[in-house]
Amino acid sequence: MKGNSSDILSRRSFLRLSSLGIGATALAACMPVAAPAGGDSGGDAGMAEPTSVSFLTQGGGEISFLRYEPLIEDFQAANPGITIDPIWEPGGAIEIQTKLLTLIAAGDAPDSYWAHSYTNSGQAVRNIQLDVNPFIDADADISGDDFLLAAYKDFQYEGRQIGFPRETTSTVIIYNAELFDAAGAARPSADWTWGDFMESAAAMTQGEGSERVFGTADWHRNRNTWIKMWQKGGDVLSEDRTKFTMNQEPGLSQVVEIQDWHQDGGIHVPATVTEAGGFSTGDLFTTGRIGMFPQFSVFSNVMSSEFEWDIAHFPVDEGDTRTTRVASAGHSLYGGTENPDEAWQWMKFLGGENAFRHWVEATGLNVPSLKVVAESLLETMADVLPPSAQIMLDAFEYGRPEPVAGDWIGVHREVQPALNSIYGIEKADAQATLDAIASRVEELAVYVPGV
Amino acid sequence: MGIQEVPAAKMKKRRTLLWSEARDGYLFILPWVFGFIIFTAGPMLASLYISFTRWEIVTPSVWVGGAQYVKLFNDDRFWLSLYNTSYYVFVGVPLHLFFALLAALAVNMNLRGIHLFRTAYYVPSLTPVVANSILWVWIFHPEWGLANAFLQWIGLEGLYWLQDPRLAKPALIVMSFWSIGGQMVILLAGLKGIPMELYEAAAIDGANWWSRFWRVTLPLLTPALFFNLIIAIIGAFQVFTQAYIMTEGGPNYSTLFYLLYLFRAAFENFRMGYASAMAWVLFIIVLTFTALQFMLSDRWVFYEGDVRR
Repeated sequence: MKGNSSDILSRRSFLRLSSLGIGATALAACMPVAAPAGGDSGGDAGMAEPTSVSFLTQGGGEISFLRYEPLIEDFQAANPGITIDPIWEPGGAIEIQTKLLTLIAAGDAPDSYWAHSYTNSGQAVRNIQLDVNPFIDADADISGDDFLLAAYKDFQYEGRQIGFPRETTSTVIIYNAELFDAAGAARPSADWTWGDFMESAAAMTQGEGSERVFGTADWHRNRNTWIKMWQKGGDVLSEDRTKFTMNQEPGLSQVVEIQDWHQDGGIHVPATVTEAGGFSTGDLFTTGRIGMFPQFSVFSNVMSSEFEWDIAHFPVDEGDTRTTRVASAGHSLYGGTENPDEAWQWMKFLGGENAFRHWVEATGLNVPSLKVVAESLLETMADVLPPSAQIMLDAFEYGRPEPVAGDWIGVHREVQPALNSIYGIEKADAQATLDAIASRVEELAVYVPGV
Repeated sequence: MGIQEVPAAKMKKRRTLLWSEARDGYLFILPWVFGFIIFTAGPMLASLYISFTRWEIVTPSVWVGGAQYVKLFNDDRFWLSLYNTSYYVFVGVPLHLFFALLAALAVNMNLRGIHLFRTAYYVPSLTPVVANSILWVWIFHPEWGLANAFLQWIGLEGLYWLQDPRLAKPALIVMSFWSIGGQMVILLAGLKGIPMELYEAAAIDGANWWSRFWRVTLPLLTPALFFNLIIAIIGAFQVFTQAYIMTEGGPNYSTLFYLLYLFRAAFENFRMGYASAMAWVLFIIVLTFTALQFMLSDRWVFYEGDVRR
């Protein structure tokens, strides 16, 4: 028997009522959040209780915590009106950016965050970072001149200063001195040429199968191919960063040359081996299977080598431009922060000498981007740096950033698979393969949101 | 025969009881309804709206009508990712089910220590996909991997499993067999549920092993197979982690699966409208396939007690 429908809450009525209420709430919560408004100073915040500045950064390990927790304590002690709330996120540039985006989408964007030169431009075209130039201009305690120029430029975009660099790297050649000596090849000198490079690489390449020693490795990575292109006058993009130029001379012939190195019996570790994972180029180097390879100046992966190793400048031919790649990580402020003054205080603190000294002493730092600390690095880190460590600092004099534009990560995503096809087992035609990605790269490079 | 009048007081008591039962019932399901609307239906409807906009998280959303869908259907990379995913689904899922069935039949035998084998087959499916992926990167390594060591041991040349665009998808399918344990357990439960009398009757009628399997086991296992098929197809259309960790969509985009492309559009290229459009296209594809399977299930799924048409 059915009850009287007017007295009983019907399933339909119940679902209708609950759906209306909850659905409206859910939809409101899921709607896109508004663009950053640029935020006020937060005025009198801090009078009653401290202003909270959230800080998204790399987490997931003891070193990550050691990197920032003592600094947070120091900062809070010196600034009782501000508390720093860290958001720890394991991973690198892409993972941090993913977390940043999800936090922004959720309407809970961090006031400040760890940033990398790879992701800076993609964020800058969308005005995600706060331009800190007005703060720098108004603050006598800090200046752009305090930083290594190439690293500082990594945090500039179209006249805006979108953050401060923390650590930076220059790409140099790491070499196994004993393999050079055993092969009777002259060790790299300050003025060695690509001819010298080829000669010594060929001399060191020997053996078969898993015992084979290769003269060189890692040129298949787009960032290293690019350095060779830059030396010869080529580039990824045209000067105005709107056209893809890797498929044109003089860049194209460099790609073809590196492809030759990868051929059977060639001087280069097959790209398939290092790309296969499990074993890194560092593993192969420390086990004596690679003579030399280009790498940004982080040496932790080769420090366990039980043979003499050192670093060198890139080879350079007459008429070449001496250059290398510089890339940096640092800190930015979110454009929509409601506490820009407090967030700036935190970023300024992270750009100060005390913070840099802490990083060098407590966790090690590749190359501190603060000049005064970078210059003393060779003494403070002498026990872990290679004998010619000065070279990595000298490289900042002539180094340059990647030609970041638009969605730069997207450009990487297009170029690297193309190079893998050219250098890998497919042995794809360089011209055709690079031509095929040109329009996509250009679309990513000139991408302007909302147009 | 006349209908007996129900006294008003009795009627009122019954209504109160019904109301009380209904209220309790709705209260019990309320958390789920809340969860469904807030965490599933709400975001789904929001993503439907977003798919008709250009929204880059940090810029205001702009209504663009069906432009994202038009762009999607003109994007070669979208079709490539759909092809890669379809390959993984339509080649991988049948093979996956086949090996799960084989494993279930094997561990259904009454042998000493069979529980150990059941556990051994099932345990890999408990391993997180990330850990599995890292393990299989090693197994497929062209120089030092176990897979090539085995091939060389039997006199074959090693393969570039994850580096050759022709082999990368099959390699990921081979890897997926590692986790057949979940399906195996469901099929094993189905096998255990088949009444022994049917086998005895078949044996009396002179049915050999194959006939018993084909005429008794398989038909009565079809509900479990059907369930596994539905779940596996839905899961395979959402393949992501392996490609994200092991191949990053390469080589030459051969493992650029649908969800990986969607993820990159959303979180690397900031194109939430485009990614939402992709999500809805995938939803419709999965919904279509699932509905199709339910429609076709009448022809091959047999439930005990059903009369075969």
